[in-house]
Amino acid sequence: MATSGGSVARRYAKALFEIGVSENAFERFEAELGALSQVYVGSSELRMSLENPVIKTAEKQAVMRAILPRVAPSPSVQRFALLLLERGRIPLLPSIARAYRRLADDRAGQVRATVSTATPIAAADLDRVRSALEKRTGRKVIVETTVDPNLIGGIVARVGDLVLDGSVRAQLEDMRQRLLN
Amino acid sequence: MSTIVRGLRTGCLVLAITLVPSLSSSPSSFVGRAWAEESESAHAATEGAEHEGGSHEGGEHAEETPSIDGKKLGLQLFNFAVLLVILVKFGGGALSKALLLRHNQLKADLAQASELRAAAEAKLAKQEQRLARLETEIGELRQGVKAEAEAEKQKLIAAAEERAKRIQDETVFLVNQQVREAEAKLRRESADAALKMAEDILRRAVGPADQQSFLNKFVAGVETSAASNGKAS
Repeated sequence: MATSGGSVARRYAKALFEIGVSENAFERFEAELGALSQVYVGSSELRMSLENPVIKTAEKQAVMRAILPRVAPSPSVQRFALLLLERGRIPLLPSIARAYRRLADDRAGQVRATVSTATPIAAADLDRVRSALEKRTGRKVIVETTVDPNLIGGIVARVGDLVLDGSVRAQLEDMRQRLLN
Repeated sequence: MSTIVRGLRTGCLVLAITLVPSLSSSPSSFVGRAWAEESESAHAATEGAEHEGGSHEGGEHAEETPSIDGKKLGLQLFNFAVLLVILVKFGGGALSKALLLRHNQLKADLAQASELRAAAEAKLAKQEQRLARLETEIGELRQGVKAEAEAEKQKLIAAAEERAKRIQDETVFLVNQQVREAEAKLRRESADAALKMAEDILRRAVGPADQQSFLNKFVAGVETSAASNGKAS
C-alpha cells in the first residue's frame, strides 16, 4: 500500500514538476508545496475536515480556497491542490511534497543530508562536514542538523539512502555484536 | 402316484358297474338272487327256532352242513374273472408305469444313500486319521506358539530399546539446546551489562575534545572514501 501510495505520489509530483519547469518556476512551486504540506501536517483539524468523507467536496474546496492564497499563491499549485482534493488524494500531499523536492534537487544538482550529533555542532565543523559530503556525493549538499544525545559522541550523516555512521553508539553496537558472536 | 389313483378309480367304477346289477332284485342277477335266498333261509331258520324252542331241544337245522351251489359259484367266479380282465385292461398300464417310477425312485434313493454312506465313511476315516495325528498337531501347535511368543518378545524388546534410545537422544538434544540458550542468554546479558557500563563511562568521559576528535575522524573517513570512489570511477 505504501509502495503504491509512493508510486502515485511520484506521478503527481512529476506532473507538477513538469509544469513548474515549463513555467520556469519549479523552485517556487517546491517552496509553496512544502509550505502547504507543512500546514496540512501541522493542523489535525484541517486534515480531519479534508479527509472526512461525510463533508462534501464543494465544502472541502471552499476551505482549501481560503487557505491557498496565503500559502501557495501560484495558480498552478492552487489548481494542483484542488485537483488532489477532488480526486481524494489529499492524504498523499506530504509524500508528493517530498517526491517533488527530490525531483527539484535532482534538477538543481543538489542533495539533502541530515547530520545528527550528540551535541550541537559548530558552524565551521558543519561546513567541513558539508564539504566532505559534497566530495563524497559529487553534488551540492544541503545540510539539515539534528541533535541526538543517544549517540553519546561522534556524528551520523544521512544522504538519501546513504548512511555514514561515525557515532559512539554505532561503535558500541558493533562491540556488542562482536561480544555476542 | 396320480396314475395309480386314476387306475384304482377306474377299477372301482368297473367293479361297481359289475356288482350293482347282481345285487339288485332282477331275475338276471345271480349273485343278488343267491344272497336273497341265503338270507331267506337264514331268516326262516331263526323264526323256527323261536317257535319251537320251548318243547324241543331243536338243534336239527343248526347241525345241517352248508351246501355249495356249483352253478352259483361258477357265476361268481366268472364275475370275478370279468372284473380282473377289466382291471388289467384299463388299469394295468398305469399301474406298471407307477411301479416303474417307484422302482426308479427307490433305485435313486438307494444310490444316494450309498453315496452318503461313502462320504460319511470317508469323513469318519479322516476324523480317525486326524485323531491319530492329534498329539503331533498339538506338539506342533505348542512349538509354533512358543516361537511366536519368542519373536514377539524380541520385537517388544527391540521396540522398547529403540524408544529408549529416541527418548535419550531427544533428552540430550533438549539439554544441549537449553545449554546453548543459557549460554546465549548469559552472553547477551554479559554484553548488555558491559555495554551499559561502557556507555555510562563514555557519557561521563566524552567531552568537547573527544567530540572534535570524532568529527575530525568522520570527515577524514568521508574524504578518504570520496577519494577512493573517485579513483575507482
